Amino acid sequence: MNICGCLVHVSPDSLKAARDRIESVEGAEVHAATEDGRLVVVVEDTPNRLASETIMDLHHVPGVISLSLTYHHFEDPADTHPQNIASHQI
Amino acid sequence: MTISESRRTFLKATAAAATASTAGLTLTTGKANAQVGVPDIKWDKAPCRFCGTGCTVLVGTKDGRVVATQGDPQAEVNRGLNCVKGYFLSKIMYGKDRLTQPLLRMRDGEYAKDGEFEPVSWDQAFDIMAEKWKETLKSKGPEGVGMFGSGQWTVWEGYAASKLMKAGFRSNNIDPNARHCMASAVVGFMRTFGVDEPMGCYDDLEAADTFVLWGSNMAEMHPILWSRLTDTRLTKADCQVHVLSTFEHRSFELADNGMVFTPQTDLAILNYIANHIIQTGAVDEEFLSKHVNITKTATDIGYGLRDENPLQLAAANPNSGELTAISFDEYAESVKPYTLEYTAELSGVPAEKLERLAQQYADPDRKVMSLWTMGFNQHTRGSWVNSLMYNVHLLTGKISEPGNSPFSLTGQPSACGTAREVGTFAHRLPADYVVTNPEHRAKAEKIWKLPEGTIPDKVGFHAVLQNRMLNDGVLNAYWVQCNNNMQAAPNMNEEGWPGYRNPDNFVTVSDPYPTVTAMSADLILPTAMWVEKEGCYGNAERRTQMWRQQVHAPGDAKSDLWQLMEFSKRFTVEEAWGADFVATTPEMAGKTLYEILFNNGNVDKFPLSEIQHGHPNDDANHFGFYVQKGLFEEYAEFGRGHGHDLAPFERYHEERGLRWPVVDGKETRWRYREGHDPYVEAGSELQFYGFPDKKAKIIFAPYEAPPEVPDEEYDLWFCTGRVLEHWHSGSMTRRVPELHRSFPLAVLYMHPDDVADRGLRHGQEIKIKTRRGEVTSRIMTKGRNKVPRGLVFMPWFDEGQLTNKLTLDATCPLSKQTDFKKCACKVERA
Repeated sequence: MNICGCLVHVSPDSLKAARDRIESVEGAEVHAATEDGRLVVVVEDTPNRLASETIMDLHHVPGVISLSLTYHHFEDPADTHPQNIASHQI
Repeated sequence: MTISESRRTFLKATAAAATASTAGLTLTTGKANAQVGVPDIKWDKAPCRFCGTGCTVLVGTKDGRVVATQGDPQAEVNRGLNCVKGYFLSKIMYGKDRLTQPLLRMRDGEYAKDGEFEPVSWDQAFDIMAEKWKETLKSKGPEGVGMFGSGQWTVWEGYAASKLMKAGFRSNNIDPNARHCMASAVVGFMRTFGVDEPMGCYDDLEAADTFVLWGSNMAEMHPILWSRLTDTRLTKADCQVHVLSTFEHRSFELADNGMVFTPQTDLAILNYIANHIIQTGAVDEEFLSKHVNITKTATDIGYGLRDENPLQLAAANPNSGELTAISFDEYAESVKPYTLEYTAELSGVPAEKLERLAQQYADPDRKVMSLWTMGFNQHTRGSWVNSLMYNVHLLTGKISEPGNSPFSLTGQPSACGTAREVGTFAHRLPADYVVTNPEHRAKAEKIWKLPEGTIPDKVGFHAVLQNRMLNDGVLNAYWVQCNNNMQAAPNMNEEGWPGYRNPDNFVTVSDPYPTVTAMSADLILPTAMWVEKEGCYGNAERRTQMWRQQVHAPGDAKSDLWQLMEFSKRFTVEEAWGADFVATTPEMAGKTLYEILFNNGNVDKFPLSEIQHGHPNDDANHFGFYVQKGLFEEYAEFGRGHGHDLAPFERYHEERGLRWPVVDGKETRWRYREGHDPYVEAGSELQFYGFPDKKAKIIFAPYEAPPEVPDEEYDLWFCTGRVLEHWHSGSMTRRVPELHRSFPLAVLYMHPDDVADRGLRHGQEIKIKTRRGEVTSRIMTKGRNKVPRGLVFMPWFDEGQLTNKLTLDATCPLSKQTDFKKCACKVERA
């Protein structure tokens, strides 16, 4: 399972249209936006698409100038059982 | 078991908070620290493994495995951001086909050039390799051995390799793959300023008013710098972005003035801008008279092809870089033919667009940052075009201050740090010293505690020449580390492949994965990569950055450093140098190369007790001393007090990198400028101290045509490059499932009318043919790249479509860097 936090720069002229388009993409959520065209978008895996594929799609949304990831979390269901923290110290 | 909704919501909130805090935004949930979210992961910093931007990522380790990464908010370069490649970075070490033991071509239990790869021990691997190197040294001397290295080597790996080749084997036949990406930039710097690497830094991305991209698609190739530039464009009033390329790419989306020009005419456009500056009275005459000498360069210099090539024979001054001093009036006359009308006609760029561009450089109230990468450097006049760029900045004095910045971007994480600063080129020594200068050789021999005359004075074989010499059977024992040159080098069919498979040669390739190059070798050595070792890289803005080992390499994989040093134990000086030279230096007799190069009191000076507690350091533990620190401190001796000062070793483990020269603990952001650069004398304002008279050079060069242009048969320009998802030959990014899935196979970008004219269609399988070979691909008329009629573009990451079977091994005759951007091809139905 992948969860990614992305900072998306959008041309201010097409901010509204681009935001609507991004919000309509399954697996993408807009968490914050500024008037000068910066969007905080969280992308997660869906049953049909990996987060990385959705991110590459977002690059192609008209008005999107740049997209950077700032946070990536991935874990397999098998990894979610409690861990003994002490055993991870090298 | 599935991840609960509440945990998913929590992780999403963490991701949003981390992103918002990076952008300086506040969420209603408040500013969160992303690291707190997952307490069972141990985090540490490391520079990214990919491009020359030099982002820092925080690497999360759990149970001896890297499991997560995040942008480092404390990193000045990327300020918490990372591109899509950077985010899947943690997966590059875990490809299914990772090599874990040496593999040798064998038949009936013996090495055989035409045998199949079989696993062997490190001892067996080094036995056969040392045997072949010794045979070659005996029969051919030092000229018969060679090494091809990398701008992805760590600083100490490049340094140890250079020392092993130049002092150990007394051969200058060592060159890095940076020859393919940065050599023209280097020659431009050395000819114009006398010192390598940019005077400015990334801070210029916020300080400039106008950005001009020359042959650079930053949106895809340097996404993080692009996001900084985008931020400036969107938030600063009246900021402008101008983009020049031979086809329209993603960076054009932000362009206020996008220009598609005919290949090679960037030479003419730069001379037009100079002419415009002169004709409109915009020359900063005081700056020019105080700080600049004016010269012109020899012309008609050929194309770096084999000497017997007709184009070389026809050249009046093949390979000449001779400079002649000229007056300002003579210079003005030289650029006068490059009028707006002539240049618009030649380049195909509308006149009003060219004029708008020229005005940005001429206007004294606009701060201009020029950025370039392979469009300039991979150019048969690459050294010229770099200097023509500086001419424009020098005419107006727009240089070496915040926002006024001609800036050469780099493609590899340590093209600057390792290839250039360490000097792993066939003609270089550390800190801009060169092998042809007796004083420089003496300095190196003194630091290395070696006898006078150890380092040979003859320039070794450069990258393209190495493949030709392998092909000709002149170079017989060859070692490739940390790059994929069979896929990356030009003209694979005529030079690279026959060179590696020449029965006279024994080729060793060290790599984490079975790349095209590895599979072309005779011996493959499995390599530890990135955070499986302690490392140091230097990025494009002179920033030196280090990281600590986080995890152990799989199986028997060993770092390049371990391999180099272990191999050196296999040779006595008698075997490496020959009896004659040893006779002149009896104190060296009977010693091994390891003893004289690495047990020399410098490299083995620092004990294991100095290693950071809590981190593994497999290399240091193996050799019994802090080998990385010893190599770094010996290397740093070259540059201290010589304009290339580095801080003490430990400081780099504390900082997110420092930009050299680092003097009295302070880094330098703008070189040559008083108040910023400690090497500039008080009261002088500005000094280009790379030359004795402290002046830079304007170097006039004219437009000259490229060697191979489209004709009736081969009727299209063939241009090669990269895409966002993949880095270089794809040997790492194609092993990350997410990146591979998003751009699995190379395609040929082609204009819809050119497709229709040939009776072809979008998506169809086609053959691309040049005079050197053919490759099968598919046509792409949509998507991110819009090529003009008459030009096709193909990315080279896909080992299933070997783009470099098609390219021509023509180089800039001065830098010896290949022009991967221009040759002639035709496209036919498959």
